[in-house]
Amino acid sequence: MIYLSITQIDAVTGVLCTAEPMRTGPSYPQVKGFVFVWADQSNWPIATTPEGAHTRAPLFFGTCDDDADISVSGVVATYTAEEYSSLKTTEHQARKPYSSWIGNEETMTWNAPIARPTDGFYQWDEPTTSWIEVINA
Amino acid sequence: MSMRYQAGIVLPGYNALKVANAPTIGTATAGSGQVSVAFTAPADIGGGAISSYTVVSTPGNFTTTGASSPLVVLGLTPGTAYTFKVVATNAFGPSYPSGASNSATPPIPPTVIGQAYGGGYYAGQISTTANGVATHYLIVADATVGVSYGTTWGTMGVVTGVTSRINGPTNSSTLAALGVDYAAAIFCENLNTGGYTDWYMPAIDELGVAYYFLKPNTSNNSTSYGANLYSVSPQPYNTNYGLTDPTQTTSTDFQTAGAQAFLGTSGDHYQASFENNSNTSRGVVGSDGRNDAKNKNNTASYTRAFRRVPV
Repeated sequence: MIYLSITQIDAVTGVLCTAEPMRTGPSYPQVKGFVFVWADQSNWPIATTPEGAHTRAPLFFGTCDDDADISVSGVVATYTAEEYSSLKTTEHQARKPYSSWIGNEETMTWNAPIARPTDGFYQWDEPTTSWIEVINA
Repeated sequence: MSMRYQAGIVLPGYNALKVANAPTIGTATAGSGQVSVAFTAPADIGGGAISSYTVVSTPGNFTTTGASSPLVVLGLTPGTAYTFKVVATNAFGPSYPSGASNSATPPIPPTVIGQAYGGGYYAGQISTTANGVATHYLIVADATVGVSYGTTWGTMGVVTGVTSRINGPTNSSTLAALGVDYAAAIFCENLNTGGYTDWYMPAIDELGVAYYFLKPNTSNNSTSYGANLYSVSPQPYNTNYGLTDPTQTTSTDFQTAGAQAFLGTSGDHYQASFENNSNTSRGVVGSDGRNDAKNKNNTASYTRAFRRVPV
């Protein structure tokens, strides 16, 4: 298993998102056995150039088969298991919404220590570590 | 061959000294099965006023005639690249043709929800005529550039009159012109991605269509919302969501763990360009389809840009 990151390419032309605008729409390089795990979403949105290309490549992390061709356009980097794990932890921590919330790095999620009530609209209040119903003006 | 001739014969009334100069070609812009061709009139119109302009395609020789720019050439084949020339006609005959336009390719219509299309992702059809007949393909922006969190809808206490449930483009441009408090609309209006700049903040029923076709999870829907006069089959017409209709989207990119899902690490309220009252706007909750109201100055919502192209 290879740990790697890929980025977006145009769905038809295959051109990298940082090279030209993806006029057809975004797609990903065909990497044998690629399994998406997480993206660097804590740093989105990414700015675009005046022409509409990305100013930097968004990163989509995952794994692929050992015999996959990773020389194709759109593959950004490969990592050791330790590097991969460290990057995942960094991204997960960057997404932490409140200090009291409990993380699940496996699913890359954060949950409040108390479940959100379902009978109205609530917002988390960190000083009291409780949900407060949002009363709209 | 010059258009001055038909089957090699000079047309009656043709006068080479009195025809107009050639128009100047402008930009050709592709739409679904059509291309809009812009041009400017010649400075020298010859011996009489220009009565019409004719645009001709290459290949195919598809033509359209009209009084002014732009002219739309219909019936073109999706996926085929076309260039265009324009001829101006006055009482003494047609001018020489303009130079050729840029190449324009009518897009192949999308068929799969969530597929890459039009600089983003295909999110279903809408009927702006409110009769179930599709008028536009809806496109949602790539989340890596086209989703903003914490951008405010607008100013508390100010009535904007932005209440169209379907006209996102007009809603959005109206809001963006009102100033910096309308940051969500400004974000969408300023978005430049995929080579397109016509992104906008979606109206509430446009967001509802996106929810119907791109529902991220497998949990129940809110059955108090979803009725949509602008829906197109297979979305039921003007009918609230069922507990299990819609089902989770088949597009893995948009499912819960996908990078494009209408969810977020900080909640899942997506703002629409739809005013609820002087203090609140409405949006769609990505996890169950509710249309909830939130204060216009809240900084806990997501905004995602949309664009649309004619069917």
